[in-house]
Amino acid sequence: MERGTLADSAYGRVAKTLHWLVFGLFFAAFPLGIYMHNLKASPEKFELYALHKSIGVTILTLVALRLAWRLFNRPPPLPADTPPLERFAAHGVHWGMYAMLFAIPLAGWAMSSASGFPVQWWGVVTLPDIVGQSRENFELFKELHEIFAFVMLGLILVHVGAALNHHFRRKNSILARMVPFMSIRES
Amino acid sequence: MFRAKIGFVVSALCLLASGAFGGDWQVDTAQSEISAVGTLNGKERTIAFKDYTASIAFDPADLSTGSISIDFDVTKMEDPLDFTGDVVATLMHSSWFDGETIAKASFVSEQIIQGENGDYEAVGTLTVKNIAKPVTVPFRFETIDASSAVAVTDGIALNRMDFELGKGWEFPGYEVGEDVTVKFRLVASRPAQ
Repeated sequence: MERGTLADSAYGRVAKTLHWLVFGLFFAAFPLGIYMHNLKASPEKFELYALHKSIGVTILTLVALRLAWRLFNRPPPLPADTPPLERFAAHGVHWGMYAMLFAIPLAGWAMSSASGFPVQWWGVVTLPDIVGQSRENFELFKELHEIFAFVMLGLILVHVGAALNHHFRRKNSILARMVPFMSIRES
Repeated sequence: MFRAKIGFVVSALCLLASGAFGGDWQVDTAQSEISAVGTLNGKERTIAFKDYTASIAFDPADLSTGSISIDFDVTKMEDPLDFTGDVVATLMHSSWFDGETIAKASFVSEQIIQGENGDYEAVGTLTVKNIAKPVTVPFRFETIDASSAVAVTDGIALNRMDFELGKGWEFPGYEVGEDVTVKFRLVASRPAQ
């Protein structure tokens, strides 16, 4: 299949910007989370926690914006000849990632609330607590925060794998329509 | 016989050391609480001091004979919300209590005076991190029975920076309030007189 024959256009500038911003922020927050978790208590550790939380709240906000944007700016459709199973898988992975991008920061926020650390966003806005203070809540949301993060990582791998498969094997525009400055050739 | 004598001498020394004959109060630490309430990102956070030794002489009828001396081991503090251990570890950091170097904090009264509303005030010196500051401790004294009583304070307002607690520990994301309120409820007993 030639590139450009499937969908008439790429994602818009706003959708692309939000997609890549969230991508970059996730890959900043994820390794930071693993690294800081193992540090000994020190000013640096708390600074990194503060940074991690601010990034998380930023992701939550951007994903909410992205979804809101999507409501009024429908993404380009999948190629018409996409088999039903693949179509289902593509949508499943996309919505799974949206769900995780909400669930991960919310679970982190709940963890902080449970342990009496109200979340501050870049030191500017203090967020209200969303769960009560208790060890049970803390352990539960800590577990969920970690599980969701790894589920997200798995979904990203599938997502990237699929995009690369489209680009290099099927040679269509699925990847190009989301990558900035990558042109979609019209047939 | 010899053993019995030794036993008697040891018991007598213990009683003397505990001040029982002097009418001093023995604090029941299992029933007592001393805590500091601060704020973290605007939310109250309480740290409890779990290891302290109090030496208290107090007679409401004769305040001039009263004295209060409390030694704290600051390395033995607890935060019920510190599920990861990071908070107490932080408080032991050199920016805070510097527990590894300076485990001891103390309050020593110079005089006890009558306060307002029937309360009392212990005027003395609080030493934390080797920094001594004059502090007035208001407290209520309530008799439970002939041999036991409780001393309670609703709060001693302190500024942690006076003792350089958390000095240099300032960054966005974790705002620790400078105002700290120390509270205590000491349950004590002495031989009925």
